[in-house]
Amino acid sequence: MALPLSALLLADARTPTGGYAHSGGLEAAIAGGLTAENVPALVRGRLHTVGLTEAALAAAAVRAARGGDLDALLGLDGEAAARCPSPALRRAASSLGRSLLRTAAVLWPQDPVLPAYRAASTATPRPVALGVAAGAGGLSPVDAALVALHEDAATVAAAAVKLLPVDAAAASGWLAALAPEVERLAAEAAEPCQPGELPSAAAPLLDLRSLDHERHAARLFAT
Amino acid sequence: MPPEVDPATSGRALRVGIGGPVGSGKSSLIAEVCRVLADRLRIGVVTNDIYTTEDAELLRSTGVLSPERIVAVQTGCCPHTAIRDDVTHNLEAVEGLEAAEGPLDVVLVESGGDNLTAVFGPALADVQVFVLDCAGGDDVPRKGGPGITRSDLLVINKTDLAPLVGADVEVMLDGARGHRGALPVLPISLRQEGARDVAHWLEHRLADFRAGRLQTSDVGPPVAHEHTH
Repeated sequence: MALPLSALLLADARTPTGGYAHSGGLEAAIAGGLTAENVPALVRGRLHTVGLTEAALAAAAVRAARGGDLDALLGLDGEAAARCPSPALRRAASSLGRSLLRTAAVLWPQDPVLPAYRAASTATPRPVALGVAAGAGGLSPVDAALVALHEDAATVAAAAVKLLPVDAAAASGWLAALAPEVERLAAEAAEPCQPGELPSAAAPLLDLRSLDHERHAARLFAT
Repeated sequence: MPPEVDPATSGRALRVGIGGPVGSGKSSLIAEVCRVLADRLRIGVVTNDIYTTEDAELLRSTGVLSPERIVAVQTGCCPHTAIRDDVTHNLEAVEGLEAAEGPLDVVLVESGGDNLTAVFGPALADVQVFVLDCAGGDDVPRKGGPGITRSDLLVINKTDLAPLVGADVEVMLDGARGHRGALPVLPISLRQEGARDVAHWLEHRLADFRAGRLQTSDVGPPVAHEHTH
């Protein structure tokens, strides 16, 4: 089945969801010595760890949203928090989640779950918010996982163009080269499972660096 | 008939965008406006620094507002995006500030220094001020661009420097008026006179806002006219 247009809307950086202010830890990694040739490895590392974890949360949130199960969605907020040990990254995920829900409410005003979740959730972590938005847009769990993974990789690639001497076409090329891997990870992330058994792959260095980055006086990106 | 009050705006602060190129005096204007108005209005400020929280720190250091009333937003190299194409972070910041410090009368949102096309989107700013300065060159107003043609108030700052940098304030006013028609242009020297006139203008917009009769000049780009031939 062709990817629905709502998936393209959610993945389009021109849809205002606040992603442009984040680098996926790239800015902090550069401060730690990362150079241009190693960015694809960072992108890939994210995909297999936090990318997979967040994609699985998004897919699970689509299932809960489709069933109108607000309690399950709020339970996923807790699962997301348990998988994000950095307070700085939890705050960023909340902010991005709120931004996404704000715009999704305009895109799909008829959906009943989205406003209910938006009102009930205090944390609105981005992956759960993405699942709620994807559900409102009629996406399947695996489509939502695909959007989550693509967004994760594209955030780092776009920031690389601004932070390093990287050609924008080359950065898009990294994403194209990763396509088979992203699709495989999306399928893995969308496997149904109990909330407590959702993937919890982590990247501790991203967490640690996010704490330094938040205190850094001179930074372009929020994370 | 009483003016219709928009339910989306009733009860919240007037949101004022302050834009303009780097170094034209946006931060100083905000500090001076706060100095004039802080006694009678409850003011909050959201800064969009490009690379640091310097603007927010500078404003805090002036002591014209309590530090909690000033918040900084990161814009990932995209100051223009943050004020028009994707205002979500700034809206979060404005709403967060109002929730934490409110009720407020006015929230000033300072754009990161950008180019002449950078204007605020209607979801973020009710009304917007664009700041140029004489030291940037007296040909700048004539160049036009949305900031110059569509801002609700155009401020031309540093008039005291004009003779020192070979700029003619009258040339700048003519250039601006050519694009702006009846929209106001204020030549000022923040260093010599402060921001009394801008503060006065702002108080009038606040009165309009509260009465539900605020009109903004940002009506979008001119519509291309159709040729019948």
